[in-house]
Amino acid sequence: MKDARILLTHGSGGESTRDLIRQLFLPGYGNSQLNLLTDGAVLTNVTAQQVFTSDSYVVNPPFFPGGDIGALAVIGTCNDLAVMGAVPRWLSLSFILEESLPIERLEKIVQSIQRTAAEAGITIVTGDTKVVERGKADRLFINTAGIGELHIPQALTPARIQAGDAILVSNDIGRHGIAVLASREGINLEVDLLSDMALLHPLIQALLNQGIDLHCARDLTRGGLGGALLELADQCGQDFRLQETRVPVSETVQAACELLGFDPLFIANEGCCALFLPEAQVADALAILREFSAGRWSAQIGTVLGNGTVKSAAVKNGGVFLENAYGVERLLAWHTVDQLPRIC
Amino acid sequence: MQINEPCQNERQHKDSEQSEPQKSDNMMPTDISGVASVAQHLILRGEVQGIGLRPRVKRWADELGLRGWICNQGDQVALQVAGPAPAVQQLQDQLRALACAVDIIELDHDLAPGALSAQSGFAILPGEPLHVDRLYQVPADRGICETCLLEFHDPADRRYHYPFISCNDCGPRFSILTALPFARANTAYARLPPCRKCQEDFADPANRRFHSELISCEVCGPRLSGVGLADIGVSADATPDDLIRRALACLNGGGIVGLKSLSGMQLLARADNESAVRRLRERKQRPCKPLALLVPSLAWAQRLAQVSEAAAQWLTSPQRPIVLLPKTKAADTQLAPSVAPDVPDLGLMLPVTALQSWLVESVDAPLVCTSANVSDEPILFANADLETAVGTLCDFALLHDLEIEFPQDDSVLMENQGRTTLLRRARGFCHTAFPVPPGETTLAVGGDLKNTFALARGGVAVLGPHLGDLESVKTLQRRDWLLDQFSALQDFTPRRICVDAHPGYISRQQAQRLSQQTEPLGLQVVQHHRAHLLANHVACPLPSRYLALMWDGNGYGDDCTLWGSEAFLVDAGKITRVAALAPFPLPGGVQALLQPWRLALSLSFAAGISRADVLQRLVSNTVTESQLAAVWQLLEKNLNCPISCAMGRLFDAMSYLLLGTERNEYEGHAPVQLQYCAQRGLEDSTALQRDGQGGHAAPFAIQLRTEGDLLVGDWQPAWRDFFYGASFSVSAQNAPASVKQQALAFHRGVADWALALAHRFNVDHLSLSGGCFQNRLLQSLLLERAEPMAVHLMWPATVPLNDGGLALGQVAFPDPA
Repeated sequence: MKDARILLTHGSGGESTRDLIRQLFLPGYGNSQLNLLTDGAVLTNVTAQQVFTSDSYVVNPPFFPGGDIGALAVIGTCNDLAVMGAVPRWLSLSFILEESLPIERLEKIVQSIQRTAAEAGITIVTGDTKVVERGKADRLFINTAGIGELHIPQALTPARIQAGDAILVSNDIGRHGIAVLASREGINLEVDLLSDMALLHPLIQALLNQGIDLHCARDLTRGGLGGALLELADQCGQDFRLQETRVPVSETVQAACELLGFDPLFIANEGCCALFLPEAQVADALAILREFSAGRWSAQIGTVLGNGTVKSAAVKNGGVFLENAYGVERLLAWHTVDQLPRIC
Repeated sequence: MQINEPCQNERQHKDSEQSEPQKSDNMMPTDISGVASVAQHLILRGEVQGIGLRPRVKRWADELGLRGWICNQGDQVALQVAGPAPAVQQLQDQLRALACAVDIIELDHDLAPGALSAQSGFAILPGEPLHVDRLYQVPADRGICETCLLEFHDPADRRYHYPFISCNDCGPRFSILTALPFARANTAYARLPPCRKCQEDFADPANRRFHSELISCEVCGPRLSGVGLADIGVSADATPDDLIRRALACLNGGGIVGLKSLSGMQLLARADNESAVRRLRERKQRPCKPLALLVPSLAWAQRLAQVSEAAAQWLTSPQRPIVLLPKTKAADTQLAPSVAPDVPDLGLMLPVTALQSWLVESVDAPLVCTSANVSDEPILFANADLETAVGTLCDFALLHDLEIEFPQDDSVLMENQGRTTLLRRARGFCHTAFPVPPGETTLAVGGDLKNTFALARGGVAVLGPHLGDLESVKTLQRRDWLLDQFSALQDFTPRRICVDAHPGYISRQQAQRLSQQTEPLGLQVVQHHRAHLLANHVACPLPSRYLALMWDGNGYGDDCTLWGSEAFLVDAGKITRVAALAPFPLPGGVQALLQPWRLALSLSFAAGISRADVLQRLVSNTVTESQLAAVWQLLEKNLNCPISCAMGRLFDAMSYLLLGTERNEYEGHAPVQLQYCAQRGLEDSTALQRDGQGGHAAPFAIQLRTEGDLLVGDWQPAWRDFFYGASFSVSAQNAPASVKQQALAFHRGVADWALALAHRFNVDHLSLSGGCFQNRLLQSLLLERAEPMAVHLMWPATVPLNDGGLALGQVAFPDPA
């Protein structure tokens, strides 16, 4: 490439932009659709009900232990679709690049996107490129949209959560947020931690295909497990009870959280989801999940109690109760102060 | 005591013969003897019910030959009395002499001279409800009196060994109340009608239980029952003697007995049995916070602690609180080490009920006495819960069938040179009403720690009992339920709700949700330390201009940092923040509150001490160099290091620096250790001086510097001095002399700073609040310094200085409308 760094002209829509696309993006993750470079992508072979999502990625630093912003963009978007019960198929991927970003770095990200897209079985069919002045974007931001196909009669939604459902988590929590933070701040951890970035649709589809009556799934990104459950309890109006000792947390994450003063329950994950399914199917579900490396530490962490089981004005529309090792129940509450900025 | 203008309250005229106030003909009628006759209608307000006031007034009236009647109305006592003017005056004088109870005697109106002429004698009439536009004063529970105890122990008495003995002067009141006014039918005794003999006693003016609402005996009173583990057979018709024998066997065997006491269930164990105490701590999940002791007598109390006269009065008072007193040397030999490890004070309590007295006197030794609950959960009180507690919390439970309507913990207070500091406001105290500026009917939700709520209506505020920390779901549920109970009793529907400013407080979040759902319910946010200030303003007599020092562990400040060393100048109602300590970071946020070593690290960092020096000096048996280095990183990168200036944190840091206190096992744990050490230092310093060893440590001098509008307390030079000059100790009790002297010097330095501020702002009154001032040594040092400066130190005796008092300040926050 002529220019070693991104310049404002790369975003102007003229020759520089076309050069960038042809020389960097298309060789990276091009395909028959994207290569057409039309303003929009025509989707053919649409066989089922569709699920549509959108996401943006501003993670700092863009390269972190276990991944980078490109892979994250693909995985994150696919996971949003996966937890609806859909199979991801098409993505749009748009860049906002900071002027003077080294193109070599962009190349690495493009390669990463390509690898992840292939693994996910999705095609990136459209995109956009903008460049902003130095200082207006921290190296690069990525925005995505994704379409997936639903092969089950009903999407997985909070409304389907029932009293008596088991609450499972697909893997140990806290790795992504801590890994990114440690890398960004240069914190020395005893054991090097990697982000838990992983595609979730293989696990969820495996569950669905093998007869598990999954009611709801939620990925545990910003706000972590705690945030997701608080939101879900509020949305479905049911109370959840979690057993603290059953939530899988690695020793490294635990130690880092103790050092930093964070609660692992509210740390972001990028390869982990909460699952709601009938109690009777827990053993089967865990067996299926544990066949995947991204489900290695899957566990049941609690149950759905039902509607208004805890009579208290503090819990109007569904609360989450955390039971400790001694059986004492605490009310899980929102942490109003953002624990970690810019981790996804 | 005042005679006021006729009140505006609704009232119901009792006397059917009484006609409207007559147009006066200016001629006082005379009776047969020719002395002028008067008739009056009086309203008595204050703690006027449940203390035997009506029978007492009847006796006086009979003795003075007066006609009329008396009855309870709502939370007041109304009486009409007629007779010779001097006799009527005498009665009023006698009423006024009851200074402890009656706050207000209102001469409601003069009656027509001929009124009550048809009344023969003086009658006690049935009580009736009263609806007024203010909150009601509720009768307090009263600990068993001397006379009842004597009767209880007297084999010749009808109520010998009757566990529920009470009289006009003592017994449950608020805890069993279902409605006002206080009357048997409005308590849990409603379903226990008195037997014939008790009815006779009730009606007999010569009997000491004349008109005692809760009169009962073993025939008609509540039934005692026992629940034990399966292997102990307790028959359904076991007598009280059998049950007590069983309970004693349990206690003497090292077991834990659950006792349904006056306002809730308690757990008891022998205080000299280390394994019993350890077991109790394990069951309660309370690793080291001190446990209170129930002692059989004042003599026993004096064996274990230094009991001043004021303390003795509190111990025997009707409120019957737990009183914190300095341990004697003998105490450590009498008590198991796990009772109150590493603290200078013991919490002692005398029996509140005959049942407690029976147990503890039979054992003739102190019993550990703590509320039956898992730590941080509310006190158990319903029989069903108590039965399930057998096996989990206790081995044997003594229960009864009297319902507890308003469960409360025992209150805890500290007595220090005649000054009382209330640490926990509960049984015996939580009925007291406070005057507040009139405004909207307001509910205040308090804070998240040591939560209480407060209600205000019509210029009267009431502060509810201690509930606990709001993280626990059970505490939240108890709080909701108790608030409903209070609201029903008090005819209370709030139109305004006051909350703390902390956005993360559950109490605030809940209130916000409520105010959005309920119309019309205005939300008022009150900054934490201003709420403490206002609580003092309500509960203490303060002049128009004074300085308020609000020192605690943390409270959300206006600038979104955590305040806690605030000085506010109050001048004719205007409150201005004028001073605070220089702020410092809390590395790891909440972890810094749990781990005092982080504070030591943080203060050193902020004071510019080198990393190398810090790592070398602060390492200890429990804190490694790598831990210190890791947290140092957080400080350097400013990662999760919220800013604070709380005085409590300064104490934490010093506690680690001198004693290596690595963890705050409970709120205030580290500062208490430091206080203990410093107190030992005070005891030693006379001996040291006598031996010519000098031993005075360098002073801890907090300097003052101006930063904009604020006077900042610069602790950094003093910290550096202590950092380099101090040596470690691992035990508060057995610290080397130098460490004790430094702990003392630190306390002195802090006290000096307080008085320096008073001097700087030229005030003669200091209002003190916040948990830091619960420190006995600090109080003494402040009093010592304040006296020669003619500065008055003010703090309330009936409102906690910790967050338990927050709600009272919140509810008193001026209504902008």
